[in-house]
Amino acid sequence: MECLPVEVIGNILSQLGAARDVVIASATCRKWREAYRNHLHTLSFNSNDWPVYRDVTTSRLEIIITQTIFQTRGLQCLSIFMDDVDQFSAAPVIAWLMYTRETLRRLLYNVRTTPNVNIFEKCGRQKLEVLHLAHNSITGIEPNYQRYPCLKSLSLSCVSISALDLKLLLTSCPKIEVLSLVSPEIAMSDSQATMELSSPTLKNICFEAMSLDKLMLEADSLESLCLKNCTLEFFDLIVKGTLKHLKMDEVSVLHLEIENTENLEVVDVSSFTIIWPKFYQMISRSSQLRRLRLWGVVFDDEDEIVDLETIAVCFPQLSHLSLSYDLRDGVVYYGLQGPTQLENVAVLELGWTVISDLFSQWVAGLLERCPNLIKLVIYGVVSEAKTNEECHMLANFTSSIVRLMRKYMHVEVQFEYE
Amino acid sequence: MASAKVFVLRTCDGETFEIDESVAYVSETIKNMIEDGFGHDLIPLPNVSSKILLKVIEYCRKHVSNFESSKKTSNGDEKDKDNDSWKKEKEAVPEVEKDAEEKARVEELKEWETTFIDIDQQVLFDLLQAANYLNIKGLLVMAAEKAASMIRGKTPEQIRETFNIKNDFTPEEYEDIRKKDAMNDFTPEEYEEIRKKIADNHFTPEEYEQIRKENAWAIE
Repeated sequence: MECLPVEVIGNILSQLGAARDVVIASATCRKWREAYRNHLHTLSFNSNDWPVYRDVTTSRLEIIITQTIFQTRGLQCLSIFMDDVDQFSAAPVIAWLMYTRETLRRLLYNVRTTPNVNIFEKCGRQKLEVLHLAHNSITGIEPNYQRYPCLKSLSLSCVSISALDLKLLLTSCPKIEVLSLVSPEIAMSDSQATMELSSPTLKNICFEAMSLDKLMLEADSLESLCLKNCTLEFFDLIVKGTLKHLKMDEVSVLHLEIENTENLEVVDVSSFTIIWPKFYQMISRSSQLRRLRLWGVVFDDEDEIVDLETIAVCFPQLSHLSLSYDLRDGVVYYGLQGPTQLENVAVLELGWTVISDLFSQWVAGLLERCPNLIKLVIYGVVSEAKTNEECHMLANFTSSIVRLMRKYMHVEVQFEYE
Repeated sequence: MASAKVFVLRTCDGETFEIDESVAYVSETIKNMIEDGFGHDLIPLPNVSSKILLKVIEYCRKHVSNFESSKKTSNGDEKDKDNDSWKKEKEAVPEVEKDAEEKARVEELKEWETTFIDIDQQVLFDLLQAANYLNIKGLLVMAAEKAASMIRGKTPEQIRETFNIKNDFTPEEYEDIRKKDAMNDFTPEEYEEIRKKIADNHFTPEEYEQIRKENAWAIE
């Protein structure tokens, strides 16, 4: 241990991360103390690290954090993630940010400050690569004066920001690749809630719990888009053929426009009202599609069906197919018509919300179309209070699956009930 | 494909090891030496023993083969390459769901890493030194995390015991700390009390008390 250089001790202490552990370790000997003071690059105050944090008053906590940070030099990653703290006063927060300004590369901060501190403005800009902010607000973005030349990943959770500031913010981050917005409070300038965002470098976008009239997103390098629990009347996405992953969960969109979808590999849509012909048209050119998931989707037009023939023809590379929606006679009969096999499908996931005979027929029909299937997963919803009829249905279903799987002995079957 | 270049490393105990270019380049230090033109003859590594270099080469080879196979699955993650310790923090942006092949690869790598780093203390320290000298970030992080796991939850005295650390604050350092912070006013009886409590601790009582007070929130 004696021959380990002090910067290696610094690395070890940085792996410890949790402030209390670091401080305790630094009290062992001179070299470790020096490692803490001059070679620590990661420090974290997380309410999960130490139960005593909860028993300490907020002002005492502010002092503890200040004392600990101020004994270090050259901190690169600072994380202050305290769910139980209502708010910190502005002065110590500003002190922490200014003290670490020159060297900070990653900041994670989720506590309200009072009076409000513009964290985004106060923290060091030159080296910042990752910023995760929660429960704060961002105002007054000036892209001409404020640039974040290294910022790659930005995550804003319960942050209030105007639509204009968000747009300007993206232009002040020339290297940004990852953007995540969760429950933002978007202040709008006009009566219509519109947001226009544009970034040539963004690769990965995730929006959660957002409600807008109109969202226009232009991202030439976008590879992955994830929307969760969003209500958008109008969503126009302009990408340049780099989009590979599209995921929409509990999203309500009236008008959805996505161009250049030729390279889509994964489409995962759940709890979504689909206008199938339109949606299908959007993804039909994605001949590279590997995974398709339509789960708990509701078809706008009751007569619409997802027909396997079209899926088999348009997506020859499909290896993973997950389907769960209301089955009607038409769906099962017409949907299964056609000669084309799903040659590459190795994993099939099928789900029911209401058990019926149709489901067993559907499973049988799908199994016939997947000659190279390796695994079948059946998802079912079982109600707590089961009527006799339901129990009967479930029993019949079980028997029919057992009979069915005898024909497909090589296929692994799994059941997941909730 | 052109045949891969091979380089020869020589350890402090005189043994030589042949490795491919891609494996050699995992070490920034070796990479720089090669690029500076020192790759034609043996590359001497006077600070690394054969026992440790074997371990290092094992890591580098796994790193290269893992990186290659991650490129094949179409959502291979650059993040895995860096073995980023920041992963501990809550993942704010949901990771794109990996397909079965990718998941299996990540699982296998985790298992391999657990076995690889299951080594005794002295080997761990030698590995830390070697990773630092050879500038292999992923290995350094892995070994540092292992060392950190041996520290977490222990008191300073327990940590000293685990790693055989000598407590070595000098009286001068104590004096320096004392001058910087004039909160130091115990009675002689109090000093004696403290001294008894920390009998084999080489910090002077005043000094340890100072440190303890400042950091009481953590140490108590």
